[in-house]
Amino acid sequence: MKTILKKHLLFLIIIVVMCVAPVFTNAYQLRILISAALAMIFAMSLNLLMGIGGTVSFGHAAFYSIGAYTTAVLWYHFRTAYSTNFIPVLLVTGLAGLLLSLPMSRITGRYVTIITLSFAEIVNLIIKNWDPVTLGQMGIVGIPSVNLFGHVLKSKTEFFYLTMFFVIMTYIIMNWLVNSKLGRNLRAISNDAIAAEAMGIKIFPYKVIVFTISAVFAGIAGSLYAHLMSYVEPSTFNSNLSFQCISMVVIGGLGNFSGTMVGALFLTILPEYLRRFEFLFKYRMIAYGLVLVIVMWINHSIPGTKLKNAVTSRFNALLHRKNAEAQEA
Amino acid sequence: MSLLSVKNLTIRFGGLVAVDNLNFEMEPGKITSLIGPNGAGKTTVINMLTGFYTPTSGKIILYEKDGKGNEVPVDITGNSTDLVVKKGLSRTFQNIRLFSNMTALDNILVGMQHRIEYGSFLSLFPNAQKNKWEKQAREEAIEILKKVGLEDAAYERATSLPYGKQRKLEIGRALASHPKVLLLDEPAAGMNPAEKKELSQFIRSLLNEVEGILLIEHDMKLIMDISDKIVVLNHGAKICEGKPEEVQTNEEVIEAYLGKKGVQRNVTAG
Ligand SMILES: Nc1ncnc2c1ncn2[C@@H]1O[C@H](COP(=O)(O)OP(=O)(O)OP(=O)(O)O)[C@@H](O)[C@H]1O
Ligand SMILES: [Mg+2]
Repeated sequence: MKTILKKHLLFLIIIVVMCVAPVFTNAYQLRILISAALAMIFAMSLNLLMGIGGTVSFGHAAFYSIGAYTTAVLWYHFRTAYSTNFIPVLLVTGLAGLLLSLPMSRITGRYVTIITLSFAEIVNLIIKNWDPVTLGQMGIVGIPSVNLFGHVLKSKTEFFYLTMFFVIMTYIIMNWLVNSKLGRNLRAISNDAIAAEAMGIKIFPYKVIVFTISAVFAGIAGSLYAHLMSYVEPSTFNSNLSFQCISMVVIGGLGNFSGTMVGALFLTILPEYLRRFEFLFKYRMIAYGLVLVIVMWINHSIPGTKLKNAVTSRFNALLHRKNAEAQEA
Repeated sequence: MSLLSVKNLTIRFGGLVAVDNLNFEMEPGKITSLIGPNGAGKTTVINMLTGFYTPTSGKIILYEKDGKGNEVPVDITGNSTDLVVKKGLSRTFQNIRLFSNMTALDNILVGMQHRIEYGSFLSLFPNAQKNKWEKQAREEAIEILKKVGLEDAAYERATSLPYGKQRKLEIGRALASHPKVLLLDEPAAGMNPAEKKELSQFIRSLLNEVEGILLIEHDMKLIMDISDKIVVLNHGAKICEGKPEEVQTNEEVIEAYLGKKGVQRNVTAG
């Protein structure tokens, strides 16, 4: 019990602080808090893919936008409630995740980058041009408040607690996943795919599962976003959004879900704060850029990696010789 | 009595015949060794046995026992790796391939994964079956760590272990899948003489855990000490097979290792 508490202490602190916060915040601050909660769900879903699954997706915004558009489109055409749309959101985003996972067991490194980026571009192009369904560039406006089985969440405070419910659920489910055979095998694959195969792990189904689950949670965040903003338009879901999401994960630490929550909180609140200083706000993209370069270095897709590996392996060899000499003596 | 037999096994990579019409048998309770100069095709044989490569031609037969204790030949040629692991072949790698960012315990648990039978989908939810399995698996993994002398390192990251222990961990991981046949690709590479001596006793003791061991090694002393049978490969083809003392004196083997001149020098010296 004590160890469980210790392990999830950061998570508990964040949840308690955030749940109490609405007592003190004004409407504008509450909105930022809701955005942060959505970012937490979104970034945790990416951390499953990146930190556990070992795949850096540069197009995670695609799933967010699919979630947002699924609920928006259903409401626009059929006037269905949020709770009615929930299952379709899961299905459609899950299917999209499954689709993107198909080539993933056969490619690595820069090809993953290219494919995930292009996937997001394609999704965005479809949303922009499928006028009869998505209303194209115009976007869909007037999406009403969340309706849960007939109960309409009138205030933003209520909406905030709904998102916090999803934050908690996401965190709990991610932890179940990670501390199981599924999570362990996923980490094994991302550590060394060949050794994982040698232990009898089939890579393909694992890629399918991790992409599908990750997409579903990103979709849940996206669908909430549509109801928060009350409108969706294609330009919101650009690659910028994917990069921000990656930054949140990297700041919090790969595979560390409470860290991701801190990253999400930080990167949602900071830009809002920086808005006051036009100069700093303008250069925030440079910071994201730097984070991305670090991610790519860690993930072996740019020069310098060889050097890094050479240094570490020489160091290990040296250490071993020292040990061996010590033993012989 | 046979455990595994390799029949006319051949693999081509473009123009290169990496393994050429190879035949050998592994007997239960024995250590069979595969030796040969660099590039002879030893690792390629393990890669074919474990489903990493599909042979161009030839057969790999594993003998299983049926209910009455009779030997039943099972053709595993070209089976995918996950099937081969289920049938009871497990390997280590020439260049250690551990799950470097995972703990020693987790490495072992991954080795056990095909025996952990709660579906991946059940991982999504907490359930009694999963908890039971995880608990049992952990206890067993600790036992395996004890066997390979790593019980103190259970929660250390694999890369933080010294080299010799990494080799041991990799063997432990292979044992975790409960193999019938253990395939070790140069387990002594990079070890000092003291470590090698300890390792050779350890490998011998593994015959209590598995039905047979296929060992690839360059260290002749170790090979001669612990092998029951040696198969010598050169340029993909078998040039000799027999007990250590038979292989040691075989002229073709000496020639393969030392070149023609070596043989002459040997003759004049003898
Ligand atoms: N996937 C592959 N594609 C092309 N050639 C290969 C492949 N795998 C192995 N070879 C070639 O097959 C030959 C045998 O290689 P193998 O690795 O089996 O040798 P080995 O006996 O294990 O040597 P060493 O003692 O150096 O480990 C080599 O010439 C190698 O280049
Ligand atoms: Mg080799």
